[in-house]
Amino acid sequence: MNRFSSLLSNIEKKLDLPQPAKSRILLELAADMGDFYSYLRECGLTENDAVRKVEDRFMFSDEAISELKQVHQTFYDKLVYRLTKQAQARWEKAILLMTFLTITILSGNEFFTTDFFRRSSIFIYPVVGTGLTAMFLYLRKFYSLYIKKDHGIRTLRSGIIPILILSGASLILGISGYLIELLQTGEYALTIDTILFSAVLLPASDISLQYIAEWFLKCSSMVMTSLFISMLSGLFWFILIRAVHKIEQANIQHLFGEQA
Amino acid sequence: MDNFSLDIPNLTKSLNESLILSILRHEKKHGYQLALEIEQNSRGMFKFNHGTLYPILHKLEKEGLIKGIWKQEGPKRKRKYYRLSAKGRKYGMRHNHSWKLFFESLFNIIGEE
Repeated sequence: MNRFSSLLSNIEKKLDLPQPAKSRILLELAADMGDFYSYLRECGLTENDAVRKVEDRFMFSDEAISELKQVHQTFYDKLVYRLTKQAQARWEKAILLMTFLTITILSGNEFFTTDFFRRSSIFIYPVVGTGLTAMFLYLRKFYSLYIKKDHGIRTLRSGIIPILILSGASLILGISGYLIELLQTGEYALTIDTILFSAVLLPASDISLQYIAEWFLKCSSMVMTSLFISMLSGLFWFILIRAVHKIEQANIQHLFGEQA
Repeated sequence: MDNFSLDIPNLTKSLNESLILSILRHEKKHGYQLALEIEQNSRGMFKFNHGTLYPILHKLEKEGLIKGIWKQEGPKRKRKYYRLSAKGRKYGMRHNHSWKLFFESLFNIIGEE
């Protein structure tokens, strides 16, 4: 572990900057601290004196931190620096909601007008519901990670696991819907068969086949949607978890990767 | 006074920038070397706290006056060096000229002993 980990950790806490800018600054400081320490030791200072002197020299005032933050400001920071925290939060929610609603309305229009969905099983509604929720969570986290660049350790992983759970839920709903629809269609076809056969009205097998064909159409569109949503949610989860992993690795590297 | 590039209300900042650009004129250096050399060459007159140094270095880098170069040293060690850019060299020369003008004007008023 780095000899100056606690000092670096203090700077890291004050330095409210996105990765990788924060990591680059801390890596540079860690290396310079190490070299300065070696130089002081060569000059004859004891280990404790050298550490103390390095800590004294690398003390960052609030003003210095704010100057560093100003230099490394992101586009988003420049855009919202005049807004208060509350106003910022309100704007963020409004923009997120607008994006979500636009996507929902556009896709909803497609959903209600296309035969593919209209003919589908009733189970398609909860399946689409999981998809919309997963998309909302993805948009929220994407905004936080890539636009707002909120890379705080405490909130870094929050909101990602539910996307994976929704991916699984979509698949389970699809398969359950398929089985329930199969059961219902089977029972219905058998009942109709019995009635028609006893009344000698129509060749019963034709009607049963029609039911089975309808079930096939209803269920295939629902299962396809369920699979698609499941894969898409899985992809959302994968993209976010990779990004979070990279940020965490960068943090670990600058805090523990260097031996001064 | 067209060529005057010093920011009079922020003279300390201008001075720090000039010191850094002047030290980097000859060869690339990393942060702590810069601070050390400035202190040694000025016989302790200009002491750089690193908390002050890095914001200036990063600002100069962002403005394209110096270039930060990362170098891998050993399997786990990365170091950042700074070197003067062509733009920085021109800017530094203009800054130095401005300092001369500044001190001439100052001594015209306070008088040399």
